[in-house]
Amino acid sequence: MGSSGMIYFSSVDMDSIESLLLNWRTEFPGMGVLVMVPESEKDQVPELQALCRRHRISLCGAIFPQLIYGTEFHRSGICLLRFDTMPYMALHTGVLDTTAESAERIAAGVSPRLDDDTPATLFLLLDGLLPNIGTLLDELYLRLANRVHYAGVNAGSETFQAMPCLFDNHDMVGNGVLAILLKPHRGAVLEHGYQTQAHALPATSTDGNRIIHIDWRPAFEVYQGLVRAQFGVDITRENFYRYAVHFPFGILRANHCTLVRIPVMLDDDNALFCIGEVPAHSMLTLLEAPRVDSLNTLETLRQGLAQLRGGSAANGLLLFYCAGRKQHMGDAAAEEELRIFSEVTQPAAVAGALALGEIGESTLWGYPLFQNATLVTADWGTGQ
Amino acid sequence: MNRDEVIPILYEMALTIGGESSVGPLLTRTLQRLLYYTSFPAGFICLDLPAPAAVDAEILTARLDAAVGDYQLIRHVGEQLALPRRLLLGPAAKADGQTELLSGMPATQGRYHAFLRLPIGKLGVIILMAPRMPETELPLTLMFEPIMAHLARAVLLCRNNDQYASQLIADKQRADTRAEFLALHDALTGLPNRGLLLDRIQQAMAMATHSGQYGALMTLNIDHFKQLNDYYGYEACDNMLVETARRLETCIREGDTVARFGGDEFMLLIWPLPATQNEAAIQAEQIAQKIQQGLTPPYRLNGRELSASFSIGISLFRAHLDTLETLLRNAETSVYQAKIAGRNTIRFFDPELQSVIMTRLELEADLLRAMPLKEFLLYYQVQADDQGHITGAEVLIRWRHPKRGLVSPAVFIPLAEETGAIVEIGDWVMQMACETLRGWQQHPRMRQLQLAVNVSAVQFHQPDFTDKVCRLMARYGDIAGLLKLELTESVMLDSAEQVIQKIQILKNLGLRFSLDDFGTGYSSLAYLKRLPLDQLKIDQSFVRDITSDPSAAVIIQTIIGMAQNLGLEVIAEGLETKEQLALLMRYGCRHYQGYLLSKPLPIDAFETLFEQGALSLSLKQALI
Repeated sequence: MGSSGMIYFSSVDMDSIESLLLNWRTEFPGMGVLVMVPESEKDQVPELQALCRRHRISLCGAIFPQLIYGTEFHRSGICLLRFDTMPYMALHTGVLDTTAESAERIAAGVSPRLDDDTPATLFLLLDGLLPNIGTLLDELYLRLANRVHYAGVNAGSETFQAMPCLFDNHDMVGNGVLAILLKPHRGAVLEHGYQTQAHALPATSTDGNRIIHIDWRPAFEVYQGLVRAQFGVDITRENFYRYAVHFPFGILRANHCTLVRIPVMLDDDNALFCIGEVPAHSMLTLLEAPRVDSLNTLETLRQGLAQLRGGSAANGLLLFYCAGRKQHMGDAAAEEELRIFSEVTQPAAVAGALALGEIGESTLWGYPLFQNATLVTADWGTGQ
Repeated sequence: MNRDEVIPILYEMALTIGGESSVGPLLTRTLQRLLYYTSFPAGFICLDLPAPAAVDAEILTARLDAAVGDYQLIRHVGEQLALPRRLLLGPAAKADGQTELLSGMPATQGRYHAFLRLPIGKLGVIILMAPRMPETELPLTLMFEPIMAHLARAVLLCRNNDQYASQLIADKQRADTRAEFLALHDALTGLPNRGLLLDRIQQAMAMATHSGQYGALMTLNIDHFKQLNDYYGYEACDNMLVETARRLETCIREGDTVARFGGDEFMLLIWPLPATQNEAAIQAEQIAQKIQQGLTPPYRLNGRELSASFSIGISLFRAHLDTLETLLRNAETSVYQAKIAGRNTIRFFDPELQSVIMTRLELEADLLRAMPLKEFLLYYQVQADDQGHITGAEVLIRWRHPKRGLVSPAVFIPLAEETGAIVEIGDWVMQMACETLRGWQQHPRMRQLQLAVNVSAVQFHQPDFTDKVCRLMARYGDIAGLLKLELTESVMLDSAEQVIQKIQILKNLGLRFSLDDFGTGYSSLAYLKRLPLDQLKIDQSFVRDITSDPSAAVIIQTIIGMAQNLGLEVIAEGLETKEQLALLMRYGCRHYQGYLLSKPLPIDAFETLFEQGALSLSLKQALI
């Protein structure tokens, strides 16, 4: 099944994939392909790489917990998205140790391919376990500023186990960034719809995506107290993984746009690990009763898309849905959101994945921010 | 206003500002955090603005100290920009719909319509810009006041720190430079030390491996230095070493190295030298002599004058044929030999080279004495035309050495050119030629004879050459048209205009010019065309091969054809056989010189030959 160069196969059959790719190439000789693979099919990637190498077809892609196609989540199969012309793409490793240098390398690769007249989006696929994504975005913004729109998602395992999750024709890596320059492209829209809670406490000690102390006390102890006081729920070490997804932190900003950080792990020192960096000294709030205002969220996305593309009709849409949000809302509510999303946006096709963190701009041409618990959507750029 | 929303932001901003120690990062990070919190996409900072009361104009010039979020603006960081006064100056303010005001911003192309102005105390201003005002219920213009006051103090502290840090860096760089210098130089004289010299010798050896050129290592010691030390004291002798170092530096060529190895031992690396051993030795010897002369003037030590002498040892090297240790040992040995030879002496390590140098030095000394001792003789070699008429002669110099016998011009002329003696010799030859021509004016049959005199390039390029010739012509009357100056193509190495000008001056006096050894040098046709010559002289090497080498024959035909086109006379020298003569005649050459006509003769013999018309009958017939 498929449309607009976005194809989903419910099972990974290399013959079918080969046939599809060769057909595509007949029509688009300079094509390339972005492939999204669910975690359960990750072992198929080497064979896919070999297939693309054999036919000299440019390949990039990532492994996600689940795929999205149409109005459903899929734990198996494979999603192939065609670039009519393969855009600039580069797989960067070593991002964990050298944030500024990595940003410099990414910017150096992208800059020569930018011109002032063509809108472009720097689409980043990142390993979800990278603790320095916020800093990486800060550094990229210092270098590229408003020359590009910023969008992206985190790949990796739903169980937060380290694994190579980004790939191109030759390599499959972890702790990396796959940078794709979509051109012409007008960016992505991102929304979570969470409501903020007034009471805030400072993250007095952080290290990347690890909150060590809140209000000068071990982070987990404070978290337990906040959840108990505000929601009457007792979170223990034993039930942490079941409950924490429903009580995310919010990082406060002056324009009331809160950044969501879902705690996903707990260590022996009672520090909390989140998906996404928590800047040192951030003021944290526990997000109010986690009701997700789906309709409002989806309407915001629709309006955002319409604003980006200037009112033209929807074609293929990329959609990334935060894994934590799905866990919080439950499978049925999440699929309902997908259905309503398709209904309000009326695209020719929707393809994407369950993501472990999302990147978008706070406003049009705004500062790039790393988010959790959001939906990110964008027109599918078919390359240049 | 929700205090819980404001305080966290101020808290984080305060910590960000407090965490920076340099102005650049402080401004950039502050801007970045403001953009992060406020959702304005871009902003900039200008410091050191004039006071509002001091500015009347709508546009003021301000330095852009930082910019974030707008690529076009970022490119102007550090530059002075013309910016709207109403945007920069004034209290904290927030305004939407400011399209006109913001369109006065350079490089932003009307992207922004809303701004937030945050004065940094009296020090400067932060301007955040957006296409439309980001939503907020927070009092942005008020809430950042304490942060801006904090930032103003932080800027001053960071400026002090930057100044201190740059001073530290400059001090460290100076210390590093000094340490690096001392590691490779002698502390007393500032000359390269042993380590640096050895490194340069190795570099020279590596280069010499490819080029095949020689180099020389000279060891120089001050004679009786220990006694000087005892007598004058260490301080005075240290001054002497420093003075010696300075003098040595003026004696060497650019690229050579003079080093001090300690005590009174100096070592000089002379590289490159010519690729033949004898020439390299001669050049090294000349440099050593120059050094010796440079060190000759007395030193002033403690108010007294001291004349010191020096022993110099020279060791030649080429490529990696010798090890560095061997080379240094040879240099040490050579200076030791110089000391044994009586000090104040130059000695080569290689005895054979020493012999070559000694021979040359003796010859040079003899050459300088040859003129006063009247050891030079002039010979005359017949020049004739194709009618069998003797038209004149080339004047050739010979040196009759009392011990060596006749010394070949091929040996002593280059030496005379190197030493400059050629000028005096050339003047004498020209004067003698004039004497001869004047004498012939008394004989009706001989008065039309011409004499050709060789003029060395060294002689020709003397600034007073034309003056001397003019004076000579004034003294000898109307013989200018009979004197022909033979130049070689090497005169053309110098400025063409000067050469042409000199020749033209002398031609105006009636002198004639012939280009000697034509075909072996580097004359370009374009140049030849401009030279006001009268004659080309085909080099004897072509004449010798004309019957055996087709290419020589072709070259001669080409030269003759070219000369005809340029209106020049052609003469062939080195004519030895009738076969050569026949071919030359067939090719159109009408003037000849060589043993076939006559060997060079003393003046009396030449005059007798002319009087008797003694060119052999068969030759005359052949010519006619």
